Amino acid sequence: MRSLFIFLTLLGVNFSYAYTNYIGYGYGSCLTCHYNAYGNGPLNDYGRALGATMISGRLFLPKSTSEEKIAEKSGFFFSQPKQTWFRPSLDYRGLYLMQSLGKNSSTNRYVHMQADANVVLKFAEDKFIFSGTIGLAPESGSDSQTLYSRENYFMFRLGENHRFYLGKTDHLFGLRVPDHNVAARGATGLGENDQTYGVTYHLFKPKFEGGLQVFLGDFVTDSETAAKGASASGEFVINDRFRLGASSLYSTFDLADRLIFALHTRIGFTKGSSLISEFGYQTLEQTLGSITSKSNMIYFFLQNQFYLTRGLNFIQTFDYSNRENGNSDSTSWKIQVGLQWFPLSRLEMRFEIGNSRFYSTNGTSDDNLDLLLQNHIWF
Amino acid sequence: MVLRIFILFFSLSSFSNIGKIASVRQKIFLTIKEHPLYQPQMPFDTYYQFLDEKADTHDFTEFKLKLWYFLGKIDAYFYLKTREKKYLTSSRNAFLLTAYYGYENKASNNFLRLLGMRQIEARGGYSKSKSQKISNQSNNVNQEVQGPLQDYDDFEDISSDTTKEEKDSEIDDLTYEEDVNSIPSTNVPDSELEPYNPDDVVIEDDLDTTDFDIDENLEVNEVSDSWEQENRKPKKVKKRSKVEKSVSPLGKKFGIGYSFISWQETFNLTNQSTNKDEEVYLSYRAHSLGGNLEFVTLGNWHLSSHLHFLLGSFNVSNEGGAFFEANISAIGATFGLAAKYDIERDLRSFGLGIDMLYRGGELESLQTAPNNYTTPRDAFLGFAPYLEFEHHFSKLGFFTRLGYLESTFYWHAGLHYYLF
Repeated sequence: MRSLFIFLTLLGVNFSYAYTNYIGYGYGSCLTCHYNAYGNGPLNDYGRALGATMISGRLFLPKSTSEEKIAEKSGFFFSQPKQTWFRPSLDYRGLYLMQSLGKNSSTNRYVHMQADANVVLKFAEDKFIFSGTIGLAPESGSDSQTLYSRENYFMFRLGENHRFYLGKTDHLFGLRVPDHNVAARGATGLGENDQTYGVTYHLFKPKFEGGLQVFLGDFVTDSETAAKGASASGEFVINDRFRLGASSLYSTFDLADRLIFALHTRIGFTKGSSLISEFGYQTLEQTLGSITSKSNMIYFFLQNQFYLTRGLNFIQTFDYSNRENGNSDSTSWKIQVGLQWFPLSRLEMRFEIGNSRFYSTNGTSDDNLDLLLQNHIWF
Repeated sequence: MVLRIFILFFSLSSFSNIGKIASVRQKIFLTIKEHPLYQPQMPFDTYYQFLDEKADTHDFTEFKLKLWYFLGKIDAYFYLKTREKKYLTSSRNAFLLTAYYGYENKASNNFLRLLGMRQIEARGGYSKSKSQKISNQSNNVNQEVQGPLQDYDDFEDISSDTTKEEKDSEIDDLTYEEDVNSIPSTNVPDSELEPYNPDDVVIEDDLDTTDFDIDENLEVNEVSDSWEQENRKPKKVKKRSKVEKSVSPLGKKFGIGYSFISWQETFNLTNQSTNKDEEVYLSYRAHSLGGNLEFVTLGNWHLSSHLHFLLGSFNVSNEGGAFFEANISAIGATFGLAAKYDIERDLRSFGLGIDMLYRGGELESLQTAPNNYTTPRDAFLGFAPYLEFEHHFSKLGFFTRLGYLESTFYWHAGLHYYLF
């Protein structure tokens, strides 16, 4: 088995991230491991240690290496922090994508999805935090890279349960999954490079976690398409392995008005297995010149993570969307299956096969098979 | 009064089945669980040291030691039946305590010996307010047979001892070697053990009093006979969760469920005018109702079968979308056989199987003007090997099946509700 994975590694296999799924380990709140209480962004010290000792495997590590030793080495470039206020990190994610396998239109390409440097500054026993990220991101519709900041914000914590974020973050909505190609992310304007400036509030209670966000769009990157609006999201904690959530978002700018509602669940099982799902409805009104069109979309996202052994998970993703635009009704299904492997701390690989099926009132099309090989390295 | 009630529990009728034994065990457990010396999962040697350190600070009545003694017997019995190490450890510790305090010292030591441990001499004392029947003679017998052990180092797990020991004359029909070979060589770490819950113990074979009785008068020889039988015929025992408690005792499961299914077929149509073939794609999706039956259980493996009836529709197009049929209603069915493996019993499983897929429906419009195509088939019958995963939530199971059919994926996902 090990040789198989080494072989896959040499092939350039997958690597990625996943995280909402970690309710399967009993960690329902992102706050435990991330500076941003809603997840994404850099890991805190505890998150790094947890990732190194619980999530990651022990490939190449002798049995004599204790978990404590591994945790100690989980800091920036294997170091232990010398002070409490400064936490740098580096993050890289790459994707080798083979699209439309077996077809004449088949294409292969490698995408640098993320190459970020981040600095977190913490003061007053973590009551004040600044997180700033700068890096390269793929330009929309091209293979070239552009300088982009996915996150830069100040956080102020009031007591233990209230947090306020001012600056650029992800939108507050639904499940923050890394699969930005699913309808729940890509078709809702919540993709990998769709962050926004705004003010975000986070409330943490034993039985509830959630908050509000008022946002102004990414007016620094592109003021013309910066969508202003507000969103709310919350999760009821049924127990430490079952959360039920709801979200809503409204955004508007000159060319589009968007309204989304969603319900989501996160269910954890023993030993890292989990089932997360989101069901949403979106109405989108777009204006192009004098033409205004309105479309509705229902989407469903479900991800089933099956823990196989430490560091290795089997992942299935079901992505459904049905779009109604005038008399046209189209449905798309995407099923993605594969392995997620953390062979050792700081390295994540993901190997997935995706099957897309499409049908509409105008017929259907040949299924697409895609192969995704991701790698994710962080320091 | 308390003693009378207690003795009632141990009457023959009380032990007419395993559930009652477990119930008595639970009552003893509730009585002594708060006692500082109750450390059922502490490794034996550690527990011996522990007793040495703590024994002086605790006095025992005969009644309490009796509880401990019966607890040891019951746990020994459970161990014989289940082969779960936690019962072995608990039983050893219980007899160690009674032997240590000199209660039924001889019998306690014999039990310890049967459980793979050497004998010990009594070091502590207890209040013999009710009876003097607890003998010091037994200590003397032990000394004659084994000699007293003077310190902890002499007290070790004999399963790691390769030297031959003298056969205890009190234990008929059971050689020391047989005894040793049947016992795990190490104690179980606490972390691997779970709190005792009698409801978790299910013996697959029927138990009645003719097979093995535990009562107050249980003799060592009875245990040794049973022990020997068990060694020769280890019985398969499984631990059952809440889910399975509602399930058939034979390990069979049956669930009904709703699911969604989809596949794509590829075939050629012949244009009657040009006599040329054109490749077309048919995408079928359906809602399905059906059932899933696990009918054979072999350890963690199960053989299962499922049958679902489908109600759905399909679309047909060629690659350019030049002709099509959309939303044609079609019924169907799927029948599959699979071997499933429990990653965690009654919580998660995966399996490999093969499905037979059937779809009805007609491609009428393609066969008539203006299309005039010759269709090779209307209905479809195919086979798809698949990989299955299932999570359980109590009686509900969420399953996914991903198969390979005609160069693409066939998938099937839904919920089962297990009736038994």
